[in-house]
Amino acid sequence: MATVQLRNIEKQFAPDAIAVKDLDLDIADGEFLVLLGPSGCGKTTTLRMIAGLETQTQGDIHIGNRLVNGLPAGERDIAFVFQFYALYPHLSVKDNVSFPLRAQNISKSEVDSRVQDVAKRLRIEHLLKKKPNRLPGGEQQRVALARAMIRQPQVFLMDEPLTNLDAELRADMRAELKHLQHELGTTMVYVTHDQIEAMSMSHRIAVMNEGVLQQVDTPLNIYNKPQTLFVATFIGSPPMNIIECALVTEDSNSYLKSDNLNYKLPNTIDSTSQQVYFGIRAEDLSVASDSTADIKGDVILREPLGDETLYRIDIGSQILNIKTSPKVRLTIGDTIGLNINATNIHLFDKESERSLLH
Amino acid sequence: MASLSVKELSKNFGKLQALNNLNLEVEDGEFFVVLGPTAAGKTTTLKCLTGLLTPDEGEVHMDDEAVQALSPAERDVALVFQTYALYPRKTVFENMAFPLKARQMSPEDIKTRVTEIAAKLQISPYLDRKPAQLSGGQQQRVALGRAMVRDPRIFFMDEPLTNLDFKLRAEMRAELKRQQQELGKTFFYVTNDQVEAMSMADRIMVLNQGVVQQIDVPETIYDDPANLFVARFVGNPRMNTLDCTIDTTNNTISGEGWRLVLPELVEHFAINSDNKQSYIMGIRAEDIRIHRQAQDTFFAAEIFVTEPLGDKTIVDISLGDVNLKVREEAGFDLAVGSQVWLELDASKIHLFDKTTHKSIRKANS
Repeated sequence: MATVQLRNIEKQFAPDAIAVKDLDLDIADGEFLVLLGPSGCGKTTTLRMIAGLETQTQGDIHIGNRLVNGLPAGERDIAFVFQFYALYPHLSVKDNVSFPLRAQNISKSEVDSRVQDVAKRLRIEHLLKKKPNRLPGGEQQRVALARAMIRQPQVFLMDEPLTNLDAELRADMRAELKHLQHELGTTMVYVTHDQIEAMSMSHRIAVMNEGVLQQVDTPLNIYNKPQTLFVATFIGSPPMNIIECALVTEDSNSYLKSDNLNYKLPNTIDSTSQQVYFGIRAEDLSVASDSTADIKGDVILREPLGDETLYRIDIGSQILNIKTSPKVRLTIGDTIGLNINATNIHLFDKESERSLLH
Repeated sequence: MASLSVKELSKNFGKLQALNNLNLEVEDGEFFVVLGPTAAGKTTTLKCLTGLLTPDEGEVHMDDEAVQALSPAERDVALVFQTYALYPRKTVFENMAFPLKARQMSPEDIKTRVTEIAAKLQISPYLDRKPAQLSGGQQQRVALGRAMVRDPRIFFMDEPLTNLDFKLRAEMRAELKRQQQELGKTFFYVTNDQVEAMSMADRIMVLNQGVVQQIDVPETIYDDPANLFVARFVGNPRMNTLDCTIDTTNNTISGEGWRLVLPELVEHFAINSDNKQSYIMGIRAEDIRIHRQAQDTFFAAEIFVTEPLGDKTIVDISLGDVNLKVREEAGFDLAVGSQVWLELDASKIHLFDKTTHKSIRKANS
């Protein structure tokens, strides 16, 4: 187990192609850190530099107390997992799980004890003698997870390992992987573009965009206190509603004003910003009576999801998403009022797109 | 516009029975979604209805016209596959005009028709552009526009959103549903994505292994699934299911590591009063509450892991050898291994027959 430290990392593939810019990141011993971002954001390049599969153009990487610049991947004491590949059908579960140890010089008794240990943690002890293709999908995936994690490196590096699984297995594997990482306590750096994986599994999320680190924080802080407009809109489903407004101070109160909005902020904002993006999540807008409404709009669409219902509300200049309990029934075409949950407001400067609140 | 009626439709491929005695009625102007996993028979159904495949048995009517003997073109329907199936070298106008040119309509009439449909879909400013210069949403509208120029009776769509990324897909879902509402056209839409089905459909038909499982409005599919397959296929996280035994002599429902006394349960389900019977119990994540203290009606379990999602938390609980998923408020957090007590909302419990997997309906409904 080890810390991972990235200092002033830059990766340039060509003069005009900078994949990662001036990246500083400290990953704690035993931490589950997720690198999250859209394709081309630099997350996989970052992971590959930690692994030693790419060399940074500039900057230092430490794994534990060791400077690993220039060390080949094989000498970094890391395990790199791409996907939870299909199992070998002709090998038993035990032989599948111990497969990655074959090439290493490890005694048979040591192999046996490691297989027992990981099998116990993943509740597959009773399956070790079976062939994998006789097992249900969930058990097969636990075997694949055991095989991926049978080695005992300083750091696990994973690149979208769940991508090719169906939705149901993916949900199960998220929980298994998070639990197993907790049990083993091995530092994990995990790359994904899937915000649900990032939110649900990590201790901290590092959000990247266009080679630049946007924010590193716990999942709940990333969700509740996004520091940039990019983080705010990348995380959350449906995406955060964003309304362009003027920020106006009158009688020492701050107001958000646009064609469809005249909203007094709960606290006075001391800022030089005049044009702002006002952000509010779908669950922070609730249906209100006309007299108390902060915004009014027409119901144009209803999307029941079972445990919750999404509505789209046309407020004239744009369409807002709201999320309600399935018990709330609104009629398409009706004009309704909405209340803003004042404690969960987000404001971003229009120029810098940085948060004025968090 | 048209209604659609399908009676006793079957289709075999050699020994493989792809569709088995399919019956369905789609109303004029309805958004009807066929939902099922891979190889359920969804696409075969669509092909049989559009005339791309000939069924072995059964009748298909559009409005009141029998269409089995008609070619795909004669059925006067539109087929929309994936969004991006536009001709990349042709302009938006040329893409939309293509089906009309193929029918040898005069250039003036083509122009009138394309202009009219483009205005309806709000893509008039883009008629001279190539598809690659448009956003995903605009491309979607062009694909729909190309289908609309002929004014077909029914729009058939086969997983049109599959290749889009997560965010765009959510946008397209809403857009497609709004367009359907505004056009008032009959949509017959095939997907394996339960979120698409729930959010867009007026009614959903769940299909598995060529057999209709249930046809109903989304809320009923979710709240009152007809069988175990529907129960577990629709909903995210999927419904928790546990083997259980009901003992009517002391009104208990129990399984490995848990036991509940629920008098109302035995009253509410149509189960006969033999002493002990085995069932599969189903309960959704949002119908379980987690408590930190014991009570008579709760049962003990352990936190396996918590998954914060921002607007809610999914908590994985281990109960003996089984894992349950519970939906809790945002911010809920307990350490792995913590002992907790679970409370089930008895009114939301589902029971399924162990052999047939059919839902044991409530006695009074």
